[in-house]
Amino acid sequence: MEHVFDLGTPGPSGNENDTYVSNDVIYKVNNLLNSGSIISLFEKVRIHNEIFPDTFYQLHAFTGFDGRTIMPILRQDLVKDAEPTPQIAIDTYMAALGFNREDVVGRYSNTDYIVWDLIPRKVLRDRDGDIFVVDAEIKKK
Amino acid sequence: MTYFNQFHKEASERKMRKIEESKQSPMNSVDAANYMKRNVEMASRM
Repeated sequence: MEHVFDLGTPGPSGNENDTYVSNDVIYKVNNLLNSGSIISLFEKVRIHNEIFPDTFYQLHAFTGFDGRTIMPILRQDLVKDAEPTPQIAIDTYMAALGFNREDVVGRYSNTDYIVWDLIPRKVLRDRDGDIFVVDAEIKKK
Repeated sequence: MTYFNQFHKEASERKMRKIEESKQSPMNSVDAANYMKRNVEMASRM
């Protein structure tokens, strides 16, 4: 994909992603800074979709700089009418999924996976109290 | 789809239904971008 601005209106950017939004879809242009490689990113996406299927990711396209870098573009449905979740509610939600809280804030594990960086900015809660993890660092143990 | 437990199944299915239903009232992309930025600002104050 040559023109990422065609994806939509620019949203907030993070360490690893520039975001664009259009038609209730968030497009995340991923620079692989956290994942390190496309394979690692796809593995993270696979696990994310297993643990958090309501905020699943799909591969949309690739962009980058010719002959130098490649950046996958992921798409995710926009979660509307929700706000950042207090850390204690994230702890409770992850416990309900069977994860144990570790000593580091926002870090959880079960027998198979470690999930970390679950902080209010990355977890939304709607008016009914339902919690949506929109972004997480995850790896298999 | 394999779920960890009954809560995981029920909560995930309910939230997926909510997201599908919310698509009936699409959000303008500028409003959506501002909504996302507002949430980041709110989170930074928590």
